[in-house]
Amino acid sequence: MKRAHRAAHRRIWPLLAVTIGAALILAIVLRPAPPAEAESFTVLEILE
Amino acid sequence: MSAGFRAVQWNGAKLRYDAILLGLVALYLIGFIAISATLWPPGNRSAWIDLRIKAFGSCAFLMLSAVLAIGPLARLNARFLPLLYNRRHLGVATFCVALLHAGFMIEWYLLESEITNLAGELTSWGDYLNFPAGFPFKALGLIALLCMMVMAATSHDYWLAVLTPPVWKALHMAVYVGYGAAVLHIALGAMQSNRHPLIPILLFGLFAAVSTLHLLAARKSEALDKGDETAEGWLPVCAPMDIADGRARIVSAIGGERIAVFRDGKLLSAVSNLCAHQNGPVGEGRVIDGCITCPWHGYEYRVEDGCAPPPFSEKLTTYPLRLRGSMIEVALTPLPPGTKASITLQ
Repeated sequence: MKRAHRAAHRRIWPLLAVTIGAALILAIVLRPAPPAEAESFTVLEILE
Repeated sequence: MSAGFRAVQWNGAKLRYDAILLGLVALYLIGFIAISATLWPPGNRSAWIDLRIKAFGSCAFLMLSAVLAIGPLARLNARFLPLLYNRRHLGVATFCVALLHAGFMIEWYLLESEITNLAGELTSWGDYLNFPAGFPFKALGLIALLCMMVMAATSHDYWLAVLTPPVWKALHMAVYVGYGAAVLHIALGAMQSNRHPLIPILLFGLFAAVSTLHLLAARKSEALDKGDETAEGWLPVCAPMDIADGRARIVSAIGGERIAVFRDGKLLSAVSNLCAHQNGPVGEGRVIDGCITCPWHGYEYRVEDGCAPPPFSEKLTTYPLRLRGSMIEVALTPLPPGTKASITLQ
């Protein structure tokens, strides 16, 4: 690779690692909560 | 190489590599579908298509991560160079698997009679502000697929020759954009709808591994690119016997391109470190049967003049050398490619 390509690699990867890494962490942290379990009743509640 | 045109330059090593690659891909896809179908049996045809989408999508992402890891691995450790030699076929295979993933997605929309909704999803501009859930993640997949398509379509020495190695290399850096889009495609798509912890662990782990390898390789090359001081246009290299027989010492002046100084027995020569094929680092190769052999794809050049042996026609730029005391010095003014400039030790 030419010097210019190596220099481009050295600039691109820190940028990619930070931006995509940050977006990835946010996407994990801000994931919507799973849908609540279907409402369940105990036998006693049903009998009441 | 330059002697003639062939669609694919097959040889025994490439055939073995491709057979192993196809076997591993088939094993992954069959394994993924069989295990998933056993644990969570698909209830109808659209669920089966959904399973294929997941199998081919995850396979394509694993392959793309492998494609991107090979370059820095080879720069960090020469044992990985055989993978680099075969990387092109892995890249094209990755595009084919990703294309099938997209094809199954379209099949799903056709089956559900919702193909018009797909266009609607991609053009709901307001949804692009919804982060992370609700973002039209398929647009990111489309960007990744387009980047891979450009890579696959130009992954041939014909395009390398037409575009010239520097332009071709710059074009192929679009794969990094494609990889970033693919990571976000999964993060905003499958990872939002499926809460299985394995998805973020694998996604983050693979992205972190690929990024770390690239950062380590960049750090390694940075030291050499700083360059050395020169005196009156001559760059000191080292004593002749400090260069292992059949190997090179790579040097560069401040702000200059790298020069590889080879020793083959008593013969010393200095050539550009850029292979005429893909600008590979010839100085990291070795001399085989009197020829400098590029470690990337095996292109060969005679030690004494940097010319490829007949019938090939590639030439490397050469540099004048001299011995000053016990030190080799290389001139920074390049000679026309293929000019004989070697010296012989007494």
